[in-house]
Amino acid sequence: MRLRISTALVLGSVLLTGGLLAGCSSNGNESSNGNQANQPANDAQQTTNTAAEPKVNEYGWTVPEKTINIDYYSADKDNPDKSAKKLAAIHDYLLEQFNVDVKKTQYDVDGKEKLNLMLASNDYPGVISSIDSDTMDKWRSQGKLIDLAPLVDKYGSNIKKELGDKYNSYLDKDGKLWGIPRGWGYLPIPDFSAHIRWDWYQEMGSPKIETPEDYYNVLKQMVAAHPKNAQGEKTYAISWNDQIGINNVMGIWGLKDGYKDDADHNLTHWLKTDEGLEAVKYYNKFYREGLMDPDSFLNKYDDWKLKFSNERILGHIGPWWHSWNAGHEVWKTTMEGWTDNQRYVQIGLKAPNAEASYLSPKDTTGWNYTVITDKEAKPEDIIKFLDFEITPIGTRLLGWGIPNLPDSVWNYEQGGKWSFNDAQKQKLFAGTFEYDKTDEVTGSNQIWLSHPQGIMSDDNKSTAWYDQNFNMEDKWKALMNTNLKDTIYDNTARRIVFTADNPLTIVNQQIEDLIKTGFAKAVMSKTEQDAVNAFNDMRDKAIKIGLEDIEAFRTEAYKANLAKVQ
Amino acid sequence: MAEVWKRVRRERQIWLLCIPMIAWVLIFSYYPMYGLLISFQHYVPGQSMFSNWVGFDHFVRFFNEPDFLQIIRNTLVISLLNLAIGFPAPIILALLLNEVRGRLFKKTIQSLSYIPYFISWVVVANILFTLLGSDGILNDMLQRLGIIDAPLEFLTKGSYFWGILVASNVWKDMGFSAIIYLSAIAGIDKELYEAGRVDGLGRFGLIRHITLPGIRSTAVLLFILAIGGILNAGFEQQLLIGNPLTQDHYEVIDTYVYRFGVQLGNYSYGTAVGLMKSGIGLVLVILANRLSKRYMQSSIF
Amino acid sequence: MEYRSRRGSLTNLAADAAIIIVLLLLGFVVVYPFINLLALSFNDGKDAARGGIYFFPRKVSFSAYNMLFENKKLLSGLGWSVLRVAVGTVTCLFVTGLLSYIISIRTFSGRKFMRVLFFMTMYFSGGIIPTYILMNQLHLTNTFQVYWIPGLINAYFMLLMASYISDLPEALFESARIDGAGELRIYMRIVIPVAMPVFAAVSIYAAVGHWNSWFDVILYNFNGQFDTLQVYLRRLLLEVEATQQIRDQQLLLHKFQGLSPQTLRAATTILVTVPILCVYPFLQKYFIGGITLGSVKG
Repeated sequence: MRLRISTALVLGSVLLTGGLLAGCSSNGNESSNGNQANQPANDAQQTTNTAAEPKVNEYGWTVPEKTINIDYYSADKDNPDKSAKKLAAIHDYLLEQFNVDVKKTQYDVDGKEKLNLMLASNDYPGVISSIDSDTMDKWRSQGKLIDLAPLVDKYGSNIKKELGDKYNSYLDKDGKLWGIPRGWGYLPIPDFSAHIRWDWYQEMGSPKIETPEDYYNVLKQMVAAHPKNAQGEKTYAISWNDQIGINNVMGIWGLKDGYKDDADHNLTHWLKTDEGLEAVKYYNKFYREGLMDPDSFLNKYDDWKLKFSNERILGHIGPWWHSWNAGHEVWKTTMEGWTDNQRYVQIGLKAPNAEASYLSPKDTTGWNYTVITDKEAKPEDIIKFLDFEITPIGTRLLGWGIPNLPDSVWNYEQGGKWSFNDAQKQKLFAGTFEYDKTDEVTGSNQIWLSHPQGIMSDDNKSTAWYDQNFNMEDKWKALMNTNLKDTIYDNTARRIVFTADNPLTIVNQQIEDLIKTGFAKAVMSKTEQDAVNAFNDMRDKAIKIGLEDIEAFRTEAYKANLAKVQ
Repeated sequence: MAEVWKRVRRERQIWLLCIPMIAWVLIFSYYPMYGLLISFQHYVPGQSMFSNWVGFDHFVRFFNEPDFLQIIRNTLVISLLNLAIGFPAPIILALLLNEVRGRLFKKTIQSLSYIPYFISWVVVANILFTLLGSDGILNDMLQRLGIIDAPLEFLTKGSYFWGILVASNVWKDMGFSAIIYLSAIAGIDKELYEAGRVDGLGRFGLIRHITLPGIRSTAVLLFILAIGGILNAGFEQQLLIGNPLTQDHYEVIDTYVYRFGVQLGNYSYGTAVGLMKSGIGLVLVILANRLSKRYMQSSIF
Repeated sequence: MEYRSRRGSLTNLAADAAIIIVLLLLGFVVVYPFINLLALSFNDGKDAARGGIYFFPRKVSFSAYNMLFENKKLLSGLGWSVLRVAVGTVTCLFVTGLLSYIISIRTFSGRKFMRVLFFMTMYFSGGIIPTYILMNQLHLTNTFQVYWIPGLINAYFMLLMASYISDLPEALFESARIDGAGELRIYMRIVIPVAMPVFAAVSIYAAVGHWNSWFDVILYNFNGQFDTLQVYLRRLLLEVEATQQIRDQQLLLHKFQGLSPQTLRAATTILVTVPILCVYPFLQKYFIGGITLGSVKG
């Protein structure tokens, strides 16, 4: 009996090896390097000699006998040439080590539009990623998607484990799962803040800045000290550009993403609050005193950047990377004798009456989804791979890319031990890290079907964004994170989806339009009374259009979401 | 009937040439027109093209939009200004070029005049910004000359917006549009000028009695077509040059429909408004054509 | 062409001077932005962010062009663009010209029918989805043919050309018909040479249209095999501009590294404009001066 088993084993392994070798040689022309293609075959030979059980690779992935094909369209608009170039390395790596052949298609057309065309012409692949919930629902209602819940039950134990309690929030009311979220999770890095010019602030003796009023006073003094820039142009305390969200600004006055949240979780739009009026008056004060750039509301980001780089705008309330891109990153190369202190530092502002400052809302749901369509022959294979990708080690591999190369950002040893590559880390701190090159060599985050962007479950520290793993080790980033750590908050439950067939979608858009115009007009009022009047006008108009319906709709969704999570 | 058949037989050579062209237009233009049906539906991509009928809902909705009157006003004002200035400008340019005697100078100006046509609106918007911003070159100059005390709000005042938009349109298209007039001028029989000169016509006389009549049919044609396009008042330029403060002056039908139809995923709405615009455009063209037939003895069909 | 005025009268000279001044001014207004873009495109990206570049680059750098030329695709894109312009313009001109001639034959009974049939296409179209499905069904997607077949006949060009041809004396064609020439022959032997100015003008329109179009390229030829220059350049720009649509701050930071939209945009404008500007001088000779119909007839 024993003998027979071993004979079978030997026979089986010989057959298998032969098959693998044949498979590899026929695949050889696909791989750019023939020698490399032979490597895994040798590995396979060794393992098959010891056991006929399925091979488990160093990442804990059970290597399938037959290549798993994942042919997917990513609805993120991107340059297809670049995307193909960045995929090549990780594709080969996955094929060799995992026996998974990933084909990713990406176009530089609007993803939503392309998905509509695919749906209309019945011409689409088996897997689609980066599909938003609205579009996903459209596809579902046309019967093009398959329910993933049974597959996850069978093959997706890690998906359930990693998503934890949140898993249920992705199911529809019949308990069906139409997509696996991507880029989900909580990433506690700040987005939005006030900024202060560090060297000048030091010169002033760094007076304390906690409230909007403090900030105003400091900026006013700063403008008095630097009324003109090097080219002799007039300077301003503050400006605005098309990428600054009014709702974020309201966070300084204690509102969450533009809404006031009372004890019973009823949401009130800022237009109907005193806080909203305060914010308008605050900016209006800058304007009335000639401290605000008169072209504030006409600046596109590029225009704003030009002025900011030329030291014409001394303060900024907006995303932190604005002051990086337009500030020291420019000055480093253009300013003679630039010193490290010539830069902006992020600070949190909080109005005296606000319970807290809510500047950076974080939605842990994820950006969008990966779905499997009715054209997929082997949906279970796809789920198996997504199930691997969602694990911490899967996230590291696909997030940080191929390990152990000279240009890799991390090293990995059999048995799960890993470390960051120190040379790359130093480059990151020095600002010489080459993002594009690293992407190409290691394929970092090029295949992103199910992994989180938030902190990983095993060490509660790492994130799929390689460069966000050392925030406290870099001096300036650490300063920002310390200053802003209390302004980040989980906003998931307040998430809202306006579908195309919802009549409120239009109302919402109309109100947003009204606010864009109305806010600018109110801020640019000649007297405070005018500003108040403009604010009231705007509010009344918004109510007429249907602001209160929007509030009710949001409140309802909010309460429903809260109930789901609990 | 026999009469008709005889005619067709006589003209069979021409009809033979027409057949492939008719086939082409039926396949590439008329067949896809079933897509217009979605104007009367609540269309979701992927669904059948013959379901979910909603009748004239989308049309009614457009007329009930809160800003309807403002949008129509902006569309018409911008279009009429474009017509009043943008229509004669290329004619004048073509006439001027035709009067130049230096061959090289003429060639150079002619070749360069259509450069702006290639400059994208993003770049144009940038240029306008540096030129007209509150600390732009123009304001700076006017202040230095003591003409104004405080910078003029060129870009944030709605009343300036129309002028700026139309001027940019003219600047961008003038040279390119002049090409067709230049070709019409080139087609005028040289002997006519000789005869005119013999008759003692001066420079302006030649322009008035020979050149202008020579380009008349082209000008009438383009004018009639421009009338039909009166509801197309631009799109990209509005979005790029406009800003929240001038929105009540820049919003035209196309920008509105784009934002509230296409961007919000409502194809039917966008198609319905497009269809309505086409219908109105067609009616206007037919009317203009009639008038021109009667008074100018020139028509499209 | 030069109908030299016999009297160099004072008013005439003044008029000449005025015309030249107006045209010079116009020339400046038209060319200056281009010069400015040229200067910007050769300037260092980060330095350009300081502004104040007017006629010459301040800190010379070829980085914008390097980025554009980095990829071999630029050349293949240029190749497809040129091929598209050549094939698309010639076929469109030939077919649309023929149609224009046909609808200008005064004795032709189907004249009005044909005019209206094509004129309607200027106003009504099925929209993007049915057209896409059609191209898919005809197997025109991901082929070069999709660049010229759907554009064979343009109703606007038809009207322009027909208006010109209708103005020609009917006797020109009638005598050929009496000599027994076929319509196609008349079209090629008489109409094309006589109507050369309008053919030249419309071919500029058609060429520029083909040169500039990108939407049909990414819509129908999505596999990238037939990418034109416009599409290639648009992609590079898009990487800079699409960032506005990204909500996620981290993604944004990642994508913004090392790109300067300003200089890249300038270099792109230059690259897109220069080749197509070369078309004009080739056709210019047909625009200068009037023709003499008598010479053609004889």
